[in-house]
Amino acid sequence: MALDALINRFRGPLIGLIASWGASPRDSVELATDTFAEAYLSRMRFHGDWNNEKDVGRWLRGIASNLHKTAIAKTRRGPRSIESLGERDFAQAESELATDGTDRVRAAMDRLQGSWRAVLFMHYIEDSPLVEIAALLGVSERSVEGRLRRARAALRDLLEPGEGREGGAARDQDGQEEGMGK
Amino acid sequence: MKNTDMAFDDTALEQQIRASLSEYRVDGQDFADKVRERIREDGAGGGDSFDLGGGNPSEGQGSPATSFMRRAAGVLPPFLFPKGMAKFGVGTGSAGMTKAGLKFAPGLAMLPIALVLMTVVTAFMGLRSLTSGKGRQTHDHKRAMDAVKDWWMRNVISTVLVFAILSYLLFEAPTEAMVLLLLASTLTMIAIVGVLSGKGLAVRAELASRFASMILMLLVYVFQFVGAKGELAGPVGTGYAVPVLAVGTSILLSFGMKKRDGTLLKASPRRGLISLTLIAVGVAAFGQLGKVEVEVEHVVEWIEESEDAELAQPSRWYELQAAMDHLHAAGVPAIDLHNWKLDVFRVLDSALAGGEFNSLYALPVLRLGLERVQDRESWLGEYDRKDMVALEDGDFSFRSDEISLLAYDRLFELTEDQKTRIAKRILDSLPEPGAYKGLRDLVGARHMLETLGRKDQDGRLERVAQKMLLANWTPNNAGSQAAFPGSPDLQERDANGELDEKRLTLVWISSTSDAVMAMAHFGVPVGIDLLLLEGYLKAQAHGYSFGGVDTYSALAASSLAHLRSLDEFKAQVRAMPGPTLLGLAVKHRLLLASILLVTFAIGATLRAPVQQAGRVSSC
Repeated sequence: MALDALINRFRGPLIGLIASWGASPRDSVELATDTFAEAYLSRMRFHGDWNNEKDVGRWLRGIASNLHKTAIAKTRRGPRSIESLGERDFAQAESELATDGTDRVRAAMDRLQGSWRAVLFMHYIEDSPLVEIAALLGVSERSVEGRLRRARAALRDLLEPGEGREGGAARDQDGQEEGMGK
Repeated sequence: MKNTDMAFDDTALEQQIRASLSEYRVDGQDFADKVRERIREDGAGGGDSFDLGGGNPSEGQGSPATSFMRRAAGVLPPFLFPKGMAKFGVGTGSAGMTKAGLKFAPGLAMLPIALVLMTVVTAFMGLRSLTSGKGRQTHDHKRAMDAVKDWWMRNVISTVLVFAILSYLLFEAPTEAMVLLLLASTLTMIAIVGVLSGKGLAVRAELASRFASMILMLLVYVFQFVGAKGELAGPVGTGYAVPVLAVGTSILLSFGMKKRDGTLLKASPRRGLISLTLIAVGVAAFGQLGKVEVEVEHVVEWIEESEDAELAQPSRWYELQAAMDHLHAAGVPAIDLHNWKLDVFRVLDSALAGGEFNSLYALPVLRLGLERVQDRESWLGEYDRKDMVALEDGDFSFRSDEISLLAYDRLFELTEDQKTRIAKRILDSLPEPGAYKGLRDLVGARHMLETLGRKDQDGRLERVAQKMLLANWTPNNAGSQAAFPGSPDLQERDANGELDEKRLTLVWISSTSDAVMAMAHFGVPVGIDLLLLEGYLKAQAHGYSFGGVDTYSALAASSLAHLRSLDEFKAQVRAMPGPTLLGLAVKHRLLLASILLVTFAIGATLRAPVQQAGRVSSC
């Protein structure tokens, strides 16, 4: 399997996955770049089948998670060499809900529970197919499809005050790396 | 590639979501270029394709492993195989090792001698690489060495602890347990090295040359113990391990060799043939030089040919006579003494001419019936007993009186009355159970009674012999051998009557030979394990093939043949439980370890890729 093919298939979902953990757009792209580079450099340690999405997804997710955690640790210890890698300012997200447009949608997405937010990011950044998203999250495609449906419904509730379902839209920060399973 | 398998009922919402995530969207080509750039920054990969491989992890894929790592993997001491190195591509997880396994493996793999050699080689090569400083790799070496250092810092206590426990067990644990541990250790090495070489961390020729040199070193080590006793090497000794190691080395050499400048030579059929020939010559030379078990046929041939100057030495004649008695008792056809008698007569003639006498040779010559009339007359004169008065009265002096008795009887024939009185005198003079060389005197007493045609009517001789045999019986504390010293006081036995296994020394072979003869005549006392005695005699019945048979090994081999012919021995063998797998493994431990090591080396070498992994798939 060529590296380019791997990148083309998993680029969008991977950036989305990292973004759903709270990384800024720039950091998400940087970490995804590092993830693919590390995956190539450490390919000797890969013991699965490069043609099996689940194997590859699990592999990439593990690398991305480690890189993300390392980056956060570095950010907390020293100068912030990577901007806004920590948690997104959710108070700011609350205030953004009052405004219109894309910022409002983005703020509403940040209020979603982690697993729903993740599938939205992973799918809509590049309109990626469910199969790669499922592989990265370690769940079935049907599960991804269900989460997407519920995430959209919850998002609509948040964006349309008065009709929302507070319980369903409650943010779940603990689940921000759901499915990462180390 | 856009999604088509979902139908959204709110496209406006979806468009809003997409718009809100636009910042995360990147140009595909730019992104891929950036990834390649990162890879190149790390000094790995390159070229255009950046192939990840075919998905089969057992094939050598593009490797980020440095030459240091390949070298380390090539000889792989697991306790120099830290987790940190996995970060550079070794992948501890691939070995299927759990955390506990990873901690225990270093100690487990610490035992085999071969591993120690491998460690030394690895450390040496690693240090040399570090000091040579070869451009970019130096950086990787430092990283790897830092990782090693870090690993030692984290695991030194557990490793030292495991090593200490294993060292203690080497001295205290049962042999069987240690053999199992050694086998497990070797198998652990096989597993780890197999996985690593399969990952392409060492090129086949590099691995082969390193293993070959390692096994050659081991060969030299084993050679020093050629003919070693069963305690070390098992019953087959080192004789079988050496050819196994030699053949293994030749096979490895046929895979290729490494040049001095570090580059690799591909194997050629010619080189393989040369290496095989060299090793074959080595094995053949070993067969000529090595210490081998002496068989009865060798002893018979040795005596009949009488080309060995040792046979002409009178001081060896008692042992020779004892050996011939054993062989006769064991049912071996009569030995042709024609050649040896020439030597004997030459010595006797010389002694007669010089007026010399030595009871050392007179007794065995008389017992074998090789003496001449002039010899008998001369020897009787030495003791001034031509009238036999002294023989019939007073304490019987074994050995010297036997000489007089035999010489006199053959010259003048003793009367029946004389025979009866002498027989009584012999039985009244039997040695105490603790007497020095008492077993020899008992055997002599029986021989004289036989000559006199008298029997030990009340079984006095047998009772003394049984007590004496039990008093002298000395098993080692390893439970593998037992022997009979010249007297019970000749060694310090522990409270259990046992002796340290390393202290069954050479001086006992003649007294043990006497004991075998005594048991053949007077029976085997209850409590004597003849299989232990067999173990001792087997270990003694070895001689250097370049030196041929000697008196010592001849006596051991003939005693062994006699022992095996005893009904009591056959009964004990029959009563023995059948061999178990563990028993066989313990019995042939050195051979088994050699086979395992060679198998491991060849197997790991075959699993390694022929070419450098990085060149195979990168670019």
